[in-house]
Amino acid sequence: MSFASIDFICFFIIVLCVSALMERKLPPRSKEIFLLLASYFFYGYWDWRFCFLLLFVTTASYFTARFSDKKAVYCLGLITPLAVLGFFKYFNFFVSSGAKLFGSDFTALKIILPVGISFYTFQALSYVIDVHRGKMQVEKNFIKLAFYISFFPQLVAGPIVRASDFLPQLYEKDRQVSVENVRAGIQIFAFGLFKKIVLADHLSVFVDDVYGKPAAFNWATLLLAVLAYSMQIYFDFSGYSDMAIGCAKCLGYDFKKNFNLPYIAENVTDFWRRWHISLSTWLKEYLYIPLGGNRKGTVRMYLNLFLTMLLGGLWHGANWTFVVWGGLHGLVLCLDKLIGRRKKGAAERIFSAAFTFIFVSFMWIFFRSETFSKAWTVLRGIVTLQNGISQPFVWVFVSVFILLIATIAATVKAKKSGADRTEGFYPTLDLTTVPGLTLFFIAIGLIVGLAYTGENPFVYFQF
Amino acid sequence: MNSTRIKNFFAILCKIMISGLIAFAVLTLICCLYYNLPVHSEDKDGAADYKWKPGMFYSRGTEGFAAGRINNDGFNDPFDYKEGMEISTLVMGSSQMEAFNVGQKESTAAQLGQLMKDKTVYNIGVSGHNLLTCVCNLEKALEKYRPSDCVVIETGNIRYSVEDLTAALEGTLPEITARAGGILGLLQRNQYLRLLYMQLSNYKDGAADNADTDTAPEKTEAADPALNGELLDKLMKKVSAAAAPYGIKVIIVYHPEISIAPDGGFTADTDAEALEVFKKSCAENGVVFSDMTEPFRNAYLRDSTLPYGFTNTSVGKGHLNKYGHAMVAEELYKLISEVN
Repeated sequence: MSFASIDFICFFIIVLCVSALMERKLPPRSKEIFLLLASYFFYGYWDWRFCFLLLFVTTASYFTARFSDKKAVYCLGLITPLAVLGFFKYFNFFVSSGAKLFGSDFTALKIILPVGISFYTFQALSYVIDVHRGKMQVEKNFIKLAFYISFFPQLVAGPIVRASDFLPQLYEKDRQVSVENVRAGIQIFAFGLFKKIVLADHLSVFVDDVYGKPAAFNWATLLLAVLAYSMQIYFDFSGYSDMAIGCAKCLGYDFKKNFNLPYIAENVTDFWRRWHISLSTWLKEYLYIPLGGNRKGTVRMYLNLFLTMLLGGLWHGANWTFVVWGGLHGLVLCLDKLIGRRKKGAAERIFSAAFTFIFVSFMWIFFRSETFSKAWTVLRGIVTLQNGISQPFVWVFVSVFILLIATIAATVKAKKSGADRTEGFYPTLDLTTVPGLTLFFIAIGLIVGLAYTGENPFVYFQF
Repeated sequence: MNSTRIKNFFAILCKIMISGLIAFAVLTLICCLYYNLPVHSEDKDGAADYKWKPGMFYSRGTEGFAAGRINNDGFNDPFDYKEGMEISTLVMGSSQMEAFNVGQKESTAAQLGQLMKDKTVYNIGVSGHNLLTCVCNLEKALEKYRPSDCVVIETGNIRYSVEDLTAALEGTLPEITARAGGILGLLQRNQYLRLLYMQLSNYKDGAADNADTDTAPEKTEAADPALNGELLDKLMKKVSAAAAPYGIKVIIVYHPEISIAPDGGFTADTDAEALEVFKKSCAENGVVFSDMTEPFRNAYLRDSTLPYGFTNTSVGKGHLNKYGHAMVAEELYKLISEVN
């Protein structure tokens, strides 16, 4: 069930109404049980068999975290989600890569990749590690832990919510379906919906065309497709995150921001502080720092950084193109650390942001291409000024324009408030007034009217 | 306490209703420019199953960007129809000939008219009118418009099912309803509701080209071309018989769907066997057949120009773009010059 579907809208309205009713008429525990069941229904709607996998990961985390002071149990708590992830996502990849290396035949197993497996296994891991580190207490209530891991807004495509951020919310009494929460939540949801079904999905038409047959297009169109994919993946994934944040908000829970205007980043380090924040924070906390972080000398720090990004790339998909994408980001992050920081003037900052955007956009070529040969065809086509079909796809310009407006608005807001850093924000309206409601209805009307109606799943569902 | 609650409830309800109405009006205004298709109307002369309300302004931004005015006769021509006007070529066909996706002067008929200079080319192409529908309407269309040189029928399909061919021959082919009356007739007068209707239909069909149900390009049907040979022969006889009293030629112009291979190669999605059967039927019955496959291929190989698709839709798919219309017009011009 995709957020951008009529099925989900119906499901969510029912869940919202029943939750509101339960909060008022039944004990608090009942809402959690209901939302847990709703989340399993949401997950099972895609394939009910994998509900058992989700339950297994949850149960394993629940028990291992309770005895995580014992090294063997703690290791088991780490190995279980990693083994699940490793088998479903990477088994064929590693075995086939190994077979290729040794020149032997390998017939891939028919393994279905469970939706959202990378997200909920990471959440389970973060819980076990945080308990072991003493950063949070063991959650003795199985329902609460299961609810945290399976909560439907973040279940299939993130953000990767940390247990220490979410579980305490389940003990706060004011976490309710209130008019204020719904007003804020539906606006954030609508904002994400616009990004996804109007911008990202229209862009996907062009991106799929060009990346499907890069040899057929001229260099300018290839370059436009590179730009289009940068826009598509941002609007797709940040749109999904916004929808998740909006849904959770309606139900009374808060998720942290997952994207913060990443394309205005002045360097790659800044980019990773703004892009998929929940993943980069997770990788830093649970991978980079345990590897030694910057505590074991300069060389080791660079190596840790590079390894973290390499594994971060692999997390996105079982393909060498993702590994290369992560590795290249890792290299540039090391370079960025090597160069260091200094105060820059306005023009220099704009130049840095443009340069970072160009780098990030070109790296997306490896991320988007199924094979290296396709990535190479795209790159070669641009460099050699290839001739071919010209397609100045209008939605690319529309998307860039909208992103520019959003960036300008955020910059003006930051200037006005005297903030050092430009932060993204949700343009929320006052829905208690006629002008606010009118604008909201117009926005909803435009989203429905301009939506792309073909089939197009969220990009991050595959991860 | 209760009365305050009731008052508050009604105040909120009023706000929602007022805001909803204003928003609806604004959205309708936006759609006047973005998606403003004309309203269906009945064609009492029977030249088409339905036509558009005369004199209406239309615009479309969902597949290509185009705007224009329906002529006084209810068709998409850049000039008005005058009773008894001398028409040299009559163009019939589907949404491809109707050409709501390109400028009025960029349609096949308009470009053919420009090439033929002092002669009038009149276009009565309407969405949903496939070859069989056009053949069924041919007699009445010729009776009304009496072209002096030829009639062109456009098709994107050369394979029809036995049922459809039989129905076309027996005159029992279901008529495309005008939907001018009733709730549908009323609803289509509001542009925003019409856009929602298109969105919903496309969503249900999983359609990706943003073509509305009225104007979606014709889809090829699977059929047995060997068996269709006989029926096609009868169909072409019917076409020739309809044209004979006027002493004019009938040209069927076929434009295949195309696809571009990952290596950049060009492929026309035509069933070679069906094409041969169709060509033979046309030739044996004095119907001129024009196949756009080669002109399309040549244009692609020459300068990578594709006949279909727009800057806001998938590459090479959907309706004919201005280049596609120009290619068809040029081919028709060559053929008409040869025929006459």
